Amino acid sequence: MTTAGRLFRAALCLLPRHDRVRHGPAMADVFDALVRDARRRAGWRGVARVLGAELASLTRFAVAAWRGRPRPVRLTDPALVVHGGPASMFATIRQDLRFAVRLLRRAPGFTVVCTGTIALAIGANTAIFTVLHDVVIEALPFEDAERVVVLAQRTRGRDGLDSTTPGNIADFRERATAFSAIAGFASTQRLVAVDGTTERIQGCMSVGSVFDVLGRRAADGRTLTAADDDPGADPVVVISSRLARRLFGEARAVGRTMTINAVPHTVVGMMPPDFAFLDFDDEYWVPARFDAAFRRNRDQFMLLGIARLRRDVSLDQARSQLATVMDGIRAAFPQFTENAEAAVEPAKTVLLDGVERRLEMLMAAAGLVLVIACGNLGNLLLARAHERQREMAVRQALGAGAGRLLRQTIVESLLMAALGGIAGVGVAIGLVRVLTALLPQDLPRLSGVAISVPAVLFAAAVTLAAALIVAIFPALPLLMRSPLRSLQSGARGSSREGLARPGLVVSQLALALVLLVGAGLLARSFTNLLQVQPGFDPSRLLTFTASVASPAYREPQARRAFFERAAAALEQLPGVRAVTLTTTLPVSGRGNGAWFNMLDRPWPAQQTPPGVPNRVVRTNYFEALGIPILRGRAFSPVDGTPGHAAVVISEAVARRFYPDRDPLGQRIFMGTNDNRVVPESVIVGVAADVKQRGLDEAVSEAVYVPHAMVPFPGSMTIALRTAGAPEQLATGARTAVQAIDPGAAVIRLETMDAILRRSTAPARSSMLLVALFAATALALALVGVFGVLSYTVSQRTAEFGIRMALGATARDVQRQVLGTGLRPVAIGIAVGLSAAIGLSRFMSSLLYGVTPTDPVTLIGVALTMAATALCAAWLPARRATRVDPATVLRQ
Amino acid sequence: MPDYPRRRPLAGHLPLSVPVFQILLSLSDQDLHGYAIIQDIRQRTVGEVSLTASTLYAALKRLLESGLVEEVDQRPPADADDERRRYYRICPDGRGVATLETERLMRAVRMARQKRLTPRRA
Repeated sequence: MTTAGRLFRAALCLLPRHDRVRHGPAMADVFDALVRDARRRAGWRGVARVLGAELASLTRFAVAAWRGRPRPVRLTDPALVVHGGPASMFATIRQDLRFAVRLLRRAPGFTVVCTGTIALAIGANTAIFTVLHDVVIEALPFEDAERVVVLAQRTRGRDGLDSTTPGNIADFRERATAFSAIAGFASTQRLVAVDGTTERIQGCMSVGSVFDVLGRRAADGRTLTAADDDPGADPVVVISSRLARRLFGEARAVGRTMTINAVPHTVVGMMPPDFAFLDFDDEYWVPARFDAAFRRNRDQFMLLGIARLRRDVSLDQARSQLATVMDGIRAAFPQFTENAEAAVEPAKTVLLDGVERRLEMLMAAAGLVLVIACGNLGNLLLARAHERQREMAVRQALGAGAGRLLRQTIVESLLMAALGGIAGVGVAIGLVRVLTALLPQDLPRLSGVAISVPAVLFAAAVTLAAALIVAIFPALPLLMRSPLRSLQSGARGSSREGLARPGLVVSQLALALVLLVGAGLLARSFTNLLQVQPGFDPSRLLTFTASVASPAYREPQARRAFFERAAAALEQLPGVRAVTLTTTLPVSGRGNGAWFNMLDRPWPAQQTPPGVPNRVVRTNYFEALGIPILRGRAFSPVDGTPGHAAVVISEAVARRFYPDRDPLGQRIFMGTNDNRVVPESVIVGVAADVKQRGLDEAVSEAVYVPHAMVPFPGSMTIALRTAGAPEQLATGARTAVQAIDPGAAVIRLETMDAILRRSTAPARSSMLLVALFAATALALALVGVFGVLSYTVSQRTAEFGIRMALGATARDVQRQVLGTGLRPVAIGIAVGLSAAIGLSRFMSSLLYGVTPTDPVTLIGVALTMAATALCAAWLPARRATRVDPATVLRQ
Repeated sequence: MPDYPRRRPLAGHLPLSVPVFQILLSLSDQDLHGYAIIQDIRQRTVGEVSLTASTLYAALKRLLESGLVEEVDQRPPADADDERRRYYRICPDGRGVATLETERLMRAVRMARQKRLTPRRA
């Protein structure tokens, strides 16, 4: 169902039950047809027009229908009833409502501004709630998803999850009884061939069956079972419905054959379209089929575990049990797991990876805007209440109870909030589109986010809450005063009466300041991010990953020959300055790592050596990417060939392992003694540090290895330094690679600029949204300052006139008004600053290169607020000086 | 709003609102379901009158309650039909009211002609 359809069905609840039951379903059908028509003719604009017209006419229908209903027989005339039974209550509420409508119509401008801001605030809240609900709460489409956890290991003293080994997963499965099912999994990129076309596609390999843990069924066929994981079993695969459509079209996929890494697999199942498991890009699931020896392997850290908590076990109990299992593993294999601890995290936390926190921050910001908007509304009603205090006092004296007066203020604010709420849902529909465009696009089910019934209910609840908050402001002074005093003091309030309004301004300013500080910190951290030196020259770089896996490339020599030919062909393209190869590009990830062993200082036998990422590169890597060599030399073309085993280490590696001696000329190897990932080699150079993982991450270490020295991988990332715009070479580069082997896959073809932009996208979007909220909050708070001061000036006109008649100059009066106006501003700023300092530490994980209590931001924001508040106060102050003493005295 | 008796003189319904009159016109020669009524009106008026679902059903509710239109049990053959659809048929009273309204409009047009307000023929 479309969003519009859902909204309309929700709105049908406006109709009386009888009409809703009789006509509702037919109306919804007709509406859907109209929406389809409009979308075909005029796109989303057409849909919006239909929806708008429909909601307006539905409201008219509802009003007419309720009015036309037969009324209950009335025993008493409401006009004669002073205190209400239920019959008269309905009548008085109607009377209140009519009164409230009149009140709002008398000040159309202010009503529009107030309901508009309420609409914005409710809209923003609803939109963010919708995204939170659909992305976070509904993140995992599994039964009882809260009990699905990820099992991994964590290096002592560090955050972040590390993969673990097949042997550890096997031990978890045998010994951890806190879980009803455990499986291992790893993401994998494999060459998939169907009917002669080959593609490199991402999938997931499963040790045991991940489906047993998740409890999802296939849409067609079956899922993987534990028996499929037996090395002797027939190779089978379960595919996503997306992949099924892409590879097999409309034909049934189950039963077909797919060649995966040159091995034919039978498709045994297809998952439903909404199925995703941690990584939404996985297109197929294959059993790992490890042999018995590899199932006991303790040094290949390649798997994560996924498990379902038993119903009677808490997360903490599971953690302590897995820690015990890990203690056993550590005792048996100290050399592999000395620093490792077991980690159990809810799958949702792992999946959302910080997005939850950003959305919660936005939700808090939107909530603050709502409170400020409510403050403004309260301000308006408070002014009205002041004007009407005589009326209220008379009614109170005649016997109207406090409840009756309170009800009237609630009806008034409810009316305004309801108008705002209806418009707010419209705002939310637009904002959801903006939000989903700004969020990281790899989040699951982002595309399906839409305003739904829970969102509309949420908007209604927020509206109700807003109305009640707003109603409190005018109600309190009404209830606290005795009617006698009001009657005595006349229509004009004494200056003490106005305390509630400056109080309101103080809190509005304080809240706006908190938001401004948040926006300021995010903006500073974003500009810091943009100024980060990645450690290489990112301009004019075209990058892509090429891979080969057909049987012809079984030998490393064949793979090396392919990549050498590809590099040579790419170098011949016009406009290409340099071509280089690497296993992992900068900024795109940590890459593979291995244990770092120094020959001159071997690690003690019982100690796990530290792991360091290594990058296999072409010898021109540093020159091509513009990474400076700080000491020693870059690779020469002979490096890596037999007899010339050489590596270059990054500055961070030199600092960590050779703090006291010259690393040049030292010998190292990587891996374990009997499984050397990098054979023994000499350190020939130290390269400048590069941001390997992302701009906002700390520099990570790297050991660069010339590709001739290790068995050549089947997949390499190629980077071209170009003379002109790199995008123009995209097609040429793909053609050149596939001319050498049409079966080679070319993926992730993009410029380095695009990669960097993606690296900063989440920071940019949070900054923009919070800045938007902060600007709205500031504007609202300034309207508050202006309103309070204008009101004060109008109340004190006589006083100013008399003062001026007695010789005060215009300047004196102006100074006095500004003084009155700026006192709450100063208090507001002080309160706001302390609140911001208290609250901003919750943001620290979202900041980069700036502390939550950054003095520059705090002072800058406080000055901005003071300056703008001064402007807002200046206008009423000027008006005060225009008072003509003669006119005032004549009154 | 006063409560009208269930059955009142046909002339008491006049003047008809634009949606009500157009719905009666649409039903005058065939039984139609809701969406078909909207489409028929839109085609006949070349888009000048375009009803929303709520306007349509608000009008149909009044027409049903005052006995000018009725729901029909007979439906077209099942294969051409959606089960949820309801079909509407004009009643003799409905036809009468539509005729009265037409006469009223014709009188108005005659008066306009006498005042030379008629647009020139194309």
